[in-house]
Amino acid sequence: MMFPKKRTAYDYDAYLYLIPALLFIGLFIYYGAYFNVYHSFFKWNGISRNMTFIGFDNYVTLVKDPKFIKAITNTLTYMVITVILQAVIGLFVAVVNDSLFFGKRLFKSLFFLPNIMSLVVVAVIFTELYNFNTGAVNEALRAIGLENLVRDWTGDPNLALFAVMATNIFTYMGFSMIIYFTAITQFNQEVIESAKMDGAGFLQLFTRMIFPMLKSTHSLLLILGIIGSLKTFDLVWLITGGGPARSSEVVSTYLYRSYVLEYKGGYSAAISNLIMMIALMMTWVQSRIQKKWDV
Amino acid sequence: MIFDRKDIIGRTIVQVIIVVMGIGWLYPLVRMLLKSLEGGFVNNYSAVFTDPGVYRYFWNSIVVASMDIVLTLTCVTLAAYAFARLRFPFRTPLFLLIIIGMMIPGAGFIIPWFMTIKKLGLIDNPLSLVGPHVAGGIPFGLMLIRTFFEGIPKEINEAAIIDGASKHVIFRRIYLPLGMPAIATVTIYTFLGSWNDYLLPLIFLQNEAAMTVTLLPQKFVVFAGTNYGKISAALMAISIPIFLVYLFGQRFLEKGLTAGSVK
Repeated sequence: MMFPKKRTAYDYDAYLYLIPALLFIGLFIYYGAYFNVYHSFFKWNGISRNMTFIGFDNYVTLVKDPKFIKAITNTLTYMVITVILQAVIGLFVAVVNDSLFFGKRLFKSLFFLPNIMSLVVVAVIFTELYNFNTGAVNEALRAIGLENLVRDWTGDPNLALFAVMATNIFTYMGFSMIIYFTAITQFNQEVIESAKMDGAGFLQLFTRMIFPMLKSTHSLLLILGIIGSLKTFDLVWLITGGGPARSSEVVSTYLYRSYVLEYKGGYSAAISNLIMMIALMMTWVQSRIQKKWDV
Repeated sequence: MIFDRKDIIGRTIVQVIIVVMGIGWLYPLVRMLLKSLEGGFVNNYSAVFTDPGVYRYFWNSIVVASMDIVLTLTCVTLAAYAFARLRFPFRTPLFLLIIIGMMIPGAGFIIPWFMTIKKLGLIDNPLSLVGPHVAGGIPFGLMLIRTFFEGIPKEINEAAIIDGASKHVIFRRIYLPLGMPAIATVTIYTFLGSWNDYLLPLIFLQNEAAMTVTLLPQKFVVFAGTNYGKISAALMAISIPIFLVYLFGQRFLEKGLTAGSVK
């Protein structure tokens, strides 16, 4: 039996199905974005009704503020180091997984576990590990006779940010691992097996085949890592509080401090807009690169 | 397998590296467990739970997580059905408009969210977290469930239309039941995001009676000084639901990651 195809018939009641989602997205995302843009042009303490229009002054102050520049530099350092190390370690663990004699599933589950735990829990555990007197890191160093390496990991301005980064890598390495692992299992195994038959070793297989074949996975992890670094708050705030003396301040802790602790509403709105612009720009660049590769 | 099966030396080397790393990843968790058991098997736990304020934290988190799950699933399944199976003007632009939220870091919204919460009269009310959580969770959930709904054979849909079923009946009787695996995945991710959130409770909830579990450790840091036993017991208590979810829902968790990675 044939039915006439009604190609142009629209289901106008479809909009009813979208109402709940659009309501939440509209109020909390789009109204929020509008609110930030609007208030970034005012001098406003974030609470009162009194606002003074000051044009682009907040943005001018922002880009000249050495504390903000420090926060941006720290965020970039954080981004580059954690994204790269998480990807490198995660890729290694994913690639060697099926060569293990035992514990294939066990290690995968273990490495992924911190990913779903509360960052508060991870942060408190690591704060204790980093403790100068009783922490496991310094205790271990003392035990093996490396006393000269004992440091105040979260209290030394040169080390605090790195202590947080190490925690970040502990938490999110497993995410990169699982994403790489899933991509690798979708490979055509015969291609790899036949390359091995032709005498390709571990390094050759890795650099010539596996690494290039994972191109779109690298780029996915890169963009997720960039967005993730921009919103990094919990670990920094709980482990170092952005200190000592703002040495480990990142953009989100800077935003929190400006808004919640210093009542700089208009200024904080300008910071928010900058964060969002960076995020959207990165997403746009990544989607362009992805498109080029897919062709 | 990247190593030759018979390359015993190479495989032994990587096995050793992975075991050493495994110890490194296990140690912090085991230390938390051991610290929580210091000074008697349940002393720290009973110290945490005999504190009359503590059950509020858990109750608040349970209420918020439940509302997050119900509202996120409502929004996401309805919208996913429309985007997967209905034809209407501006379908693609509307989809992108919703999805793009995934690429925006939530920290950037703390000011408007705080002001909105204030206008709604929800300051110091755990329910203030629900709106931002749902809005933040919609993009990922929508993408996941739409992809899943698109995989359900269209023929089932068409047969139901011939039988005279309305869109709503098709949605309820066909798409919801068949979509259960994807719905389970979204439920788990919504729960994790809700339970683990720290930034928004920190800003919205100042009154102890309104606080959620991630604010619990700070209570013991203040009152217990460097007593890590009690803090660790609190950390374990917060983490137990997460461990349970991991134990029973790992299959769904990994499915969610895979779906997210095949954009």
